[in-house]
Amino acid sequence: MAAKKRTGTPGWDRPAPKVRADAKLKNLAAEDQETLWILLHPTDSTVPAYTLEAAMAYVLEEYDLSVAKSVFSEWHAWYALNLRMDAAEQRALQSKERYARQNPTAALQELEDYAQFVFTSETLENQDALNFGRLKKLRLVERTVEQKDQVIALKEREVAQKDEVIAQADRKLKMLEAKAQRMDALEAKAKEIKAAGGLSPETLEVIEKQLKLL
Amino acid sequence: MKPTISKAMIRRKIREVLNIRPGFGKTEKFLLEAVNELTGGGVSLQELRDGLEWNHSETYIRSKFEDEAEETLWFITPEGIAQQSI
Repeated sequence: MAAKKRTGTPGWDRPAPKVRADAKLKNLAAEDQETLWILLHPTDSTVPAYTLEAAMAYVLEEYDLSVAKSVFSEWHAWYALNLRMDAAEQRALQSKERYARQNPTAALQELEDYAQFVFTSETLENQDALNFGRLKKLRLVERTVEQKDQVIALKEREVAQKDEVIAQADRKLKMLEAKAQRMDALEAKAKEIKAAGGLSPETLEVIEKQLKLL
Repeated sequence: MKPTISKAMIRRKIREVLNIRPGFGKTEKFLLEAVNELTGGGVSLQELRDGLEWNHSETYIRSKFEDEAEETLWFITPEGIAQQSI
């Protein structure tokens, strides 16, 4: 590739780069593009719509822009698509907000997915949108059921753990009861020995052994 | 005979559609519809797929498979936006 020839002319003295033909109209301010669209598609049915030629003349007069018919049609198609996607975006964002209000615990990713779903369904043809909506609803119900199943399983585990704790406490209680019974027996025996007049070394050894076991 | 639309034009129009509301992914079906709207019709699904593949190989666009809808969504990348602004 040949090296770029140096002109020695500073940037500000060079001619401005050529503007892309289709960018002329797209780069107009949003309000101006909206005005142009309304002139072509008036909301009031009593006002006659501008023809393509009349709109081109308006653009030349108003913004000093001379555009070819093909460029104008291209902008027209692009702007129509833009409006369609804008409407879809608005509905997606509204639905997202509503979903967030109804499900305050929903994760951010879930909200984003939901908005994307609505946007996609809005940009599809009507029938597809309907099926898409149904599919989404079905998936949401499915997910809710799954989540509820998970909660139930968790609660079941909690109940099982509590049962285990109760069983342990029960076992401990029985051991304590047995210990108390043995203590009572020892006490009774001690009283018996005291009444008989004292302890023999063998009896003392037996009592000591039993005490060590407790 | 209907004039054919150049590959370069289809590639550019794909980026153009994806550049409108870039935060939202677009399905292949919608892209085909939108590209045909912008070009005046005549773009086949195969031509669109070729255009998508080319833009993808140049990293001007990226895809994401949406599990729930079982659809691939297409997004424009920062490189694609930059290319679109030239």
